[in-house]
Amino acid sequence: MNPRPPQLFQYRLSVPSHRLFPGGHRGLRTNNGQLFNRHEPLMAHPDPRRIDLRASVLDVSGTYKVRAYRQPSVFDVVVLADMSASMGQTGQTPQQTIMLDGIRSIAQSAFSYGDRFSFIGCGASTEKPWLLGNCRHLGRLQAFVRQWQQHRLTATSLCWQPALSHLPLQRSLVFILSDFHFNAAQLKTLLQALARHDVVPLVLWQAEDYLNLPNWGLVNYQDAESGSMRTLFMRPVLRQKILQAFAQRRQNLQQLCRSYGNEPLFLTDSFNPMQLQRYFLSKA
Amino acid sequence: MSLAFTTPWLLAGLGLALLPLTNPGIRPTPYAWLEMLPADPLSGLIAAALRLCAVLALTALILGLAGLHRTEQSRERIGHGANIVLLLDRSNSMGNTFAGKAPDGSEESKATAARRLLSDFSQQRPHDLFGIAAYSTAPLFVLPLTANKPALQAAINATATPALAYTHVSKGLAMALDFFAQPNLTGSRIVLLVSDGAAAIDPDSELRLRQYFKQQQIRLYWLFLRTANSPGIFDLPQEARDDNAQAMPERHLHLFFSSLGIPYQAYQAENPDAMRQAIADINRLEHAPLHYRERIPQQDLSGLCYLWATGLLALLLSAKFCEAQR
Repeated sequence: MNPRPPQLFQYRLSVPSHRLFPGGHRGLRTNNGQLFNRHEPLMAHPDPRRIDLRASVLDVSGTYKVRAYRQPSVFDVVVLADMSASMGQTGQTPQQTIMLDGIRSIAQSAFSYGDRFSFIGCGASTEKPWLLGNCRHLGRLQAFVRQWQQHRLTATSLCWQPALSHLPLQRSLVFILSDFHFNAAQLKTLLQALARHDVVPLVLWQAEDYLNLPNWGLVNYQDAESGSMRTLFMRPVLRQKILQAFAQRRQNLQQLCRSYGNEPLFLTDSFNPMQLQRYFLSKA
Repeated sequence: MSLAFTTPWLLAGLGLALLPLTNPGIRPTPYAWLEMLPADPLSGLIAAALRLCAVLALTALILGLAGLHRTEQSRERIGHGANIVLLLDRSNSMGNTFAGKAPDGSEESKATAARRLLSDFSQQRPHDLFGIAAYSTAPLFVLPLTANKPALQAAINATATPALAYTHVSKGLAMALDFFAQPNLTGSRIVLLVSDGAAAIDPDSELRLRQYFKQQQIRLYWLFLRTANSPGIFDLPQEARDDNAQAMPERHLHLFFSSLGIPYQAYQAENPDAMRQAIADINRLEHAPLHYRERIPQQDLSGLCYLWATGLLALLLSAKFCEAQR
């Protein structure tokens, strides 16, 4: 597989970062930066280069005032990926390729900001989660991607619980890469656990599953995870019903995620960074 | 109805008929989450019907292989009629016309006339059991007592084959009487002898025949097809020295039958019309209740099984062609 050059997007956070290290995002810490924050007494901020004479004259107490600036800070970017068998679908574009595009795009965008990138992949409850922690180097990412490409997604169930302990404690930007083909209770638990983070649910759906259905004929669908089968006699009425079911599902997911303050982004058959760009621009 | 199998051990294969329950036979298409698909009763119905068809097709194939058949049956029937044995003369002379000539197209032979009238007779009497024996130099067993009309018709038609040599009436009679030897035969017992001549009966046979006729309580009808200018049954000898079995076998056979002490009637027919009259008489006289068992032969059902299997497989094949291509 020849990796396509990843496309970058710019992301923004809903609240400023209060991380210590300087980075590319709006921060809460007062330190070197371009954005004026407030005036402080010279004694509290002993930097004579920043003395603001005009503010000092105007001050009735007669102390020297120093300009204090906001320091742009770093932020952690985490991708929480669903690695159950349903994400191993091989449609027009294999779901795993789309995920890989997403991981590379998100990681390199994070690198371009100087942020740290982490990957947590969840499969069945018994499996050890796939981890790539606090990565800042392209080489490490590429090694990980190569390893990941050879992995086949076969987990027959999905459990987020083991992954949650690997999440950073401070507020981070968390992308959930999944098809969200699991029940609402599981999603609620996950969103509750991620309440302290900025969460971006990325819903990856395959066009084969609802848009490119045949109009007529017998089809035997086999569930990727449970392996159970269902024979359908496809006809325009049923096709319409399936489309409606997916539209309903989309609405339900939107409602559920919005109730936790997250707007989901629906991606069909490809990972397009422009969509993410637009998403972040409209959100902030 | 009792069913049986030629090779019952093949029935062990019936377990294979359950295979379609595990595999629907349609190429599976991977799908991310089946719960997204809405419930569809029609699809469920079609899927169940296809599985059922597959199970039935396999069952039919295995039943066919095992040789399913219905065993021989018998059915009790009650009718008004008689057990009639037709004893036909197959001597050469039956092939001639009533005028004693070879048939030339304008007149039919005695055998043809007898055949035609007997088949009419058998069709008029739907509840009778008919048997056929023929005799020439030796007796010929043709058809046992049966209610099967097509078989009877075929047997009567079979007498159209060229006739044989001479007339040996005593052996023919013995065989006809033999038809009634089966124990559970009800209704009146009739022997209808159709001949155009007679022969002397030797004393040994005569004794035996007397005994048989008495034992079996038989009614005897003799349809004598008289050829023109030949001695008749009722002719009296012109001279006393001619009154013996060798010179006038017809008269003496008639006397022998009359002396048996059984219901006996002789008809002397000199043309086909007289013959028809004689048969109508018999038809009128013999109507006694008859109780018999009809045999239904063994019936092979494997062909039916294969037919069903073919039909069901054709249905499954058409479903296979209806598969959607992704």
